[in-house]
Amino acid sequence: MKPFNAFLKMQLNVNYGFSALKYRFTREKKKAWEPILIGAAILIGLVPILVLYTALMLAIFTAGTLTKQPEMILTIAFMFSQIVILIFGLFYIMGTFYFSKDIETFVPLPLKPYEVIGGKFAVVMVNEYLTSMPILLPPIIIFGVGTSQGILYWLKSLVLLAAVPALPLTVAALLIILLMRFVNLRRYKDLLAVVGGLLALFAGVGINMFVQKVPKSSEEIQNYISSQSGLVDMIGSRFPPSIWATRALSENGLPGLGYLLLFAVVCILLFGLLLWLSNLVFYKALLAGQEVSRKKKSLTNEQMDRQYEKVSNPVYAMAGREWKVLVRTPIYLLNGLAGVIIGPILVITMFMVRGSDPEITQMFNMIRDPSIMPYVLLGGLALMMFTSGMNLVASTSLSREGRTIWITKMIPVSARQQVNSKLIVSMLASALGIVTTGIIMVVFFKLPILWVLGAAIVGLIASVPMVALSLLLDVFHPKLIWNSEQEAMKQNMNGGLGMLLSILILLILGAVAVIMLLAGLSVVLIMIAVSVVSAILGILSLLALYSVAERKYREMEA
Amino acid sequence: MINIQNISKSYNKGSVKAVDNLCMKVNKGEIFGFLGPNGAGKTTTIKMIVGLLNPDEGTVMIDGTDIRKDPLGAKKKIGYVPDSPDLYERLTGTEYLNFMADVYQVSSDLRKQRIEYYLDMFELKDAASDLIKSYSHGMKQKIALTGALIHDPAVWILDEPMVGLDPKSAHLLKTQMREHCDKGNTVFFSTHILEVAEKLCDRIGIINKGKLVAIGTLDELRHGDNKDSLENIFLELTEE
Repeated sequence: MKPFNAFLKMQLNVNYGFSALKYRFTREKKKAWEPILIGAAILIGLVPILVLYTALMLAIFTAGTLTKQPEMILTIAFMFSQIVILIFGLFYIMGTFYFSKDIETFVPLPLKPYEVIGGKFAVVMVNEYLTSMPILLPPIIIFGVGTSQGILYWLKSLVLLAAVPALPLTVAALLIILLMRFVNLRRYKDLLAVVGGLLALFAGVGINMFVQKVPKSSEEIQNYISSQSGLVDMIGSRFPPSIWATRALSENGLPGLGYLLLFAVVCILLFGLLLWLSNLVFYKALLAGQEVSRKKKSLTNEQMDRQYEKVSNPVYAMAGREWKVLVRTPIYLLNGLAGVIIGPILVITMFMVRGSDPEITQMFNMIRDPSIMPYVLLGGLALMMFTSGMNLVASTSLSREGRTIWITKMIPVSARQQVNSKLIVSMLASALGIVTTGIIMVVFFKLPILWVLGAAIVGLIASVPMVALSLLLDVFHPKLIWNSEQEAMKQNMNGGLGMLLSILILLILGAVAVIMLLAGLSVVLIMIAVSVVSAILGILSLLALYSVAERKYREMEA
Repeated sequence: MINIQNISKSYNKGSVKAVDNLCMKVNKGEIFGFLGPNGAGKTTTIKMIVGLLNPDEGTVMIDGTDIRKDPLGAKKKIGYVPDSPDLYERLTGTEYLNFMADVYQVSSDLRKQRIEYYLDMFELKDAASDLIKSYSHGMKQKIALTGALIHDPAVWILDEPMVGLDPKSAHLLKTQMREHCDKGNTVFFSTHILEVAEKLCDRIGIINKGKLVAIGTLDELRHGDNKDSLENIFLELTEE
């Protein structure tokens, strides 16, 4: 096998875990349910979004047909997919080309820089198909069926489907390679991870807000579109490749093939440029980024003494260690803490965007009505519990220790103390969510401070069972073998299950509150009842957690 | 000081026996070298001694304490460093050492004294305030050693401690090991460097395919043939 082919094969294998999956299904059959379950969960999550998206596309197609520009659906889809791929491609390319752990092992191999880039590019490309296919397939099928296209259309579609991610990705790669040549972004790796994560979060909210603003009926869409005559050309003048792709599909005969050829040639030329450029500068930038930044500061004896002055008890020492790792690891910070804080803030932003609506103003006024306020407060309490429950800190606590688990096993600290330290950190994360929600309730909704404070205390008590059960889940079945922090947190089933458990607790408490409301009891009584039920659930979950931990910490091997 | 009785460990539902009915004793004041080819079961044995792996059967006593029955008590007596220590990459060296001192409950004065001693010895003082992430393999090894010895444990258990250490640090560590044992303590370590074992160890154990094939002083292993090198003995014993 030629070196490049071997490299490509290995890259695809490592990144998509073919061998690992094969091992799962042939050797470790007991654990085969895990990938199956994850795959099923993704499908279940994806189907409703796809259905909604297809409906939207159908509406656009109908509107386009009426205004005699049916191909608009294709232009919009091509442009949308390419912009998405470009934006996420920038971060993805930077990660795989420059920050991935294995890249350094390829430098000494007898591979040319462009071969390494080619292999890495293929990995990103395959991954982008997962993004581009769901965006492009529905409109291509809708247009093809709707305008009764022949076999040539479908053949051209296949070529375009294969080629579309290449263009924005090549552009992204070119930008990154040039940028990295001049700026050593490696030093800001952690910062970039945070920026990238925030970007993804805001993109999610942006889409959410866009969907909210999209006219609801297809009639409205038709009106909107017919008022924008020549929309295709307008988009096209800003982003020509979408037009080429559209024309390649919508025009028959030679012109269609011509546009397809144009698209392909531009792709190939840009890719050629990328390979040529990477041969020139890739290793230079990569190797320049290898130097690790160190302070190299000699400490005086007094400074040393001061550093080792403070003695903590083991539980606080372990909690402190976990907290430091949590806030210093961008992936953990973003998924663990920032979500807790940003979540409520986003709710507010969405309100602000639509704040001028008379309905919203009316709602704000109603909230402060003394007869309604207590119920609003109950709603606020539910929101507090929700934000405190929707974080992954507790449910990935032991998993995050990963390969350092040997230290946990070695130190003379009992299982009970170990989980206590984890409880402290997880409760702190939950408390952060409760406090931000509380501040929003006071500042934006102008609810009385004392009431909100009361709700916050009830919320904290209610967090105990949520945190304890999430932690129990992770202690029971930790995911300790992972290669990137991402895997420990986001690709960890315990995270999703922990949230489900939290929602379950929320539902139980909600049911208690609703029943009491229906019985006409006062809000104060309801809050007390919710606290008591939470406390009982909390104590029970803590007892279960301790007993599971006692056994699991002993059985766990490192 | 370390008493291992009939421990076994198998993987894949018993199809692979990593350690097979192993018995040995390591006495007070003794440096014990544990040798064996790759995959012979050295690390598995060591992990069972320190409690990282649970043996399928058998017992391990550390200075009279059963590691399974009283794990916390036994762990307080052990200082253990694995072959390639994974540490908390996002803590600084100082933070890591403080953490270890806290969990072993070492007083402020003692920790200052010991940390300063080891950091000085390993020439790590300047790097202590950097993140462990930025350390080389050898530096990680040194910080792990310092963390493991911070509570002055009686029993040192070191898996390939010389790997990654520069010659000076390796020499200093060997001196430390000797001094530690001369005070009536115990060092148990695995190594592939036969010269080190030959010069340093009071007794040697050789493991092959999960079974202990030889144990004793160098002289005992030679069976009276003084010219026989440890290398020859090792090769003979571990041959197919």
